[in-house]
Amino acid sequence: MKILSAILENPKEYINFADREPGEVIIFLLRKHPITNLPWIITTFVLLVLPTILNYVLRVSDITLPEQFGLVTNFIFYLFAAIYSFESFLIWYYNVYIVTDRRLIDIDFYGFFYKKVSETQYNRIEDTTYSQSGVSEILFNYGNVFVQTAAKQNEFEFISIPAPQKVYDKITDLVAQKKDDE
Amino acid sequence: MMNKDLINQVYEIILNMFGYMAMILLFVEVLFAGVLVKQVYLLHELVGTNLTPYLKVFAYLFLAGSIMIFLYSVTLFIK
Repeated sequence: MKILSAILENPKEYINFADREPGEVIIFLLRKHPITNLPWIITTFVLLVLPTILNYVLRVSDITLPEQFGLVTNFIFYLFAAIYSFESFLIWYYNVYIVTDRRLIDIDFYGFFYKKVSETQYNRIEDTTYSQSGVSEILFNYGNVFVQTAAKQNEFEFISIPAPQKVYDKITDLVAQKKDDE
Repeated sequence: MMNKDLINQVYEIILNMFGYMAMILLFVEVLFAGVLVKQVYLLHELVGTNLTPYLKVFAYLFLAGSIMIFLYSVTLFIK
């Protein structure tokens, strides 16, 4: 199940990404901490249970509907729950942050019709910070890493990643190394 | 007697309307399932991992299931 991990350090298994340069080494592949999936898992559970509750309420209140009504309503509910959960899983799984030996890559994917890929080289990075706040972030050791770049680019935000201090340390080391090389 | 006929007619109309609405919703869900299949392929080009083949199989099974449910529902309502 390592492939479902939210933090892969120097991954040995097959991982590739668009525009990967020859010889480019992946240092970290990061996703949001699995605990952040809890809201959609709970929603899916509610969606799956709801038809059973509705059927029970109808039966108790002696309301009889034609058989195909109930059947098709259940189909619609369950299919919607399946689409919602599969899409939510894809959003989590393909929203990745990649730290390579040459650059940072942020792949954002939200829903059916939106995706964004941004990258920055280490020599453009001006400032890096990380933050952990709240009970759940401290308890499960996840948080945010912010990377401020030169130019008019937006700040890179690695949101809710596991072990933010470790990632922050690695990024600052890579930036320092790049500046020493120059 | 007249009233009972009218109630039955209204009931039939509501039933038909529900049937058509259900058909439309299920058809939209089939379309979304199709988009999911395409999406898995596009995302694999973006970030490829070992899990993608399984996701593809799942997406195709899901599409096939959606189509079967849609067709079955059509047979329930359109006689």
